[in-house]
Amino acid sequence: MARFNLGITDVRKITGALTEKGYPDFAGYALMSLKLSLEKIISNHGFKESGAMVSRIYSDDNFTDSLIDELSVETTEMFRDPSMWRLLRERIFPGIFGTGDKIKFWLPGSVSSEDLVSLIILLKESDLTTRSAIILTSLSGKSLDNIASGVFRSSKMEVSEANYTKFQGKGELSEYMVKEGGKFFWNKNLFSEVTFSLGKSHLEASATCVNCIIFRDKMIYMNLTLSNKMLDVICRSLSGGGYFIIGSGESLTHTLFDKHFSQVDQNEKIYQKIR
Amino acid sequence: MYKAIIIGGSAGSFQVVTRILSSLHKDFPLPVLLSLHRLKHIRSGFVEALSLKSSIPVKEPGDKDHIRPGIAYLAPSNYHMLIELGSRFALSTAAPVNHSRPSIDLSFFSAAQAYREKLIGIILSGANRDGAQGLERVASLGGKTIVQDPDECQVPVMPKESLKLTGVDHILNSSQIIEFLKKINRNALD
Repeated sequence: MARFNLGITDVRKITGALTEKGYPDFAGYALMSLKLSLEKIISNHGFKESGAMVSRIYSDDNFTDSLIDELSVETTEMFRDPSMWRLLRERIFPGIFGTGDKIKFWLPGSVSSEDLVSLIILLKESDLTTRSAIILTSLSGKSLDNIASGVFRSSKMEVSEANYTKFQGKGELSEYMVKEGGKFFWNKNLFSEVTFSLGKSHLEASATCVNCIIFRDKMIYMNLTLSNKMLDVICRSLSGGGYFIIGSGESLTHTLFDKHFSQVDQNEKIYQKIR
Repeated sequence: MYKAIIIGGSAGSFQVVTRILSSLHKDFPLPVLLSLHRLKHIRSGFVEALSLKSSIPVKEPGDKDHIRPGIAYLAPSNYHMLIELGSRFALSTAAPVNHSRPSIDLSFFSAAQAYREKLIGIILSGANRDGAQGLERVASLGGKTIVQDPDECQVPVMPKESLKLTGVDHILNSSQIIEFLKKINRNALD
């Protein structure tokens, strides 16, 4: 059977409804990704057409929160791009932790736990946990609950373990997990230094004087206008010399903020804010 | 006239893609979008391998890069490669489709929407059904559709699955695909 094909006007109606419900960001999302995820969601929920979804957005807040979670489509894995995590451990952390101050991390727009837990494990294995504070923000309560519950999908185990080996972690990934009722969960004590925070827009700055912002594979879902607004927030939240990490397929080249950052390494997308 | 060519391939397609790229004129007038299944954890090497014999530059696009004619763009590992309106790429880390990221279907869906009747979609050898729905979308939005002749394919599943969904315009072996593309070149230069 041919797949449902959503028109651009229908996409606009849905983002319009989300804006009216207080979620303005989606109007600035990159059109094709948004269209493809909406088509998938419409099929999964058994809606016959987009109008039914629009009505539901207006009438059912739980549905809308869950939709925000589903729309944040990324699926990543532990230690995606292991060489980037190695670079953090070997070149970046010795510098930022060198001063003795507590170091602040921010993960805006999170929908899953992989980057968070990768960071936590990296800090733990470097004996830096108590010298760090991590803030994680998300647009969806459902996403936040999922992340905080520590649940880890076993389908990601194989690739995650392979990445952890390439990262040259100190132990086994499984040492950080427990199995309960057939599911894997991260050890709860891993989250002791994490503050979870819910907001309706990525543009609500949640932190100031941040030393390192991890925002990987998020701007790929935004158009240039929203990306630039987000980068403005990020620029203002970062301390001078702070680090900004994006996905391997992303760059600042097309944005207005290229001149505010220098790329630390040719192969990895780790940027440093120019003082 | 056409504005882009999109090629989907998996197991057994590497040599065909190499042949196509090596036989294109160096001033080929269209972008060639390559959505090929590839190893998830190996970020480098594939572009270099394809570049060896290609007569046009081969690149992995970054997110929001402009799409230019005369360049072959290879979907980067562990991302879906989408075509945005306004001739730019958009990458995505959405869930794998048919166990694949990049997914041929998603690249074809977005290219079909962006280029409509000005797109040529080609499905080559491969071992799963990825690409079949994508090619159907290219056809339904007015684009030209071609599958590699299953009799010539190392692994014919992908072209066969495409033929089940779509009454394609042409079933061609690799030499005929090359001839077809060369003709586009001549027409554009005339």
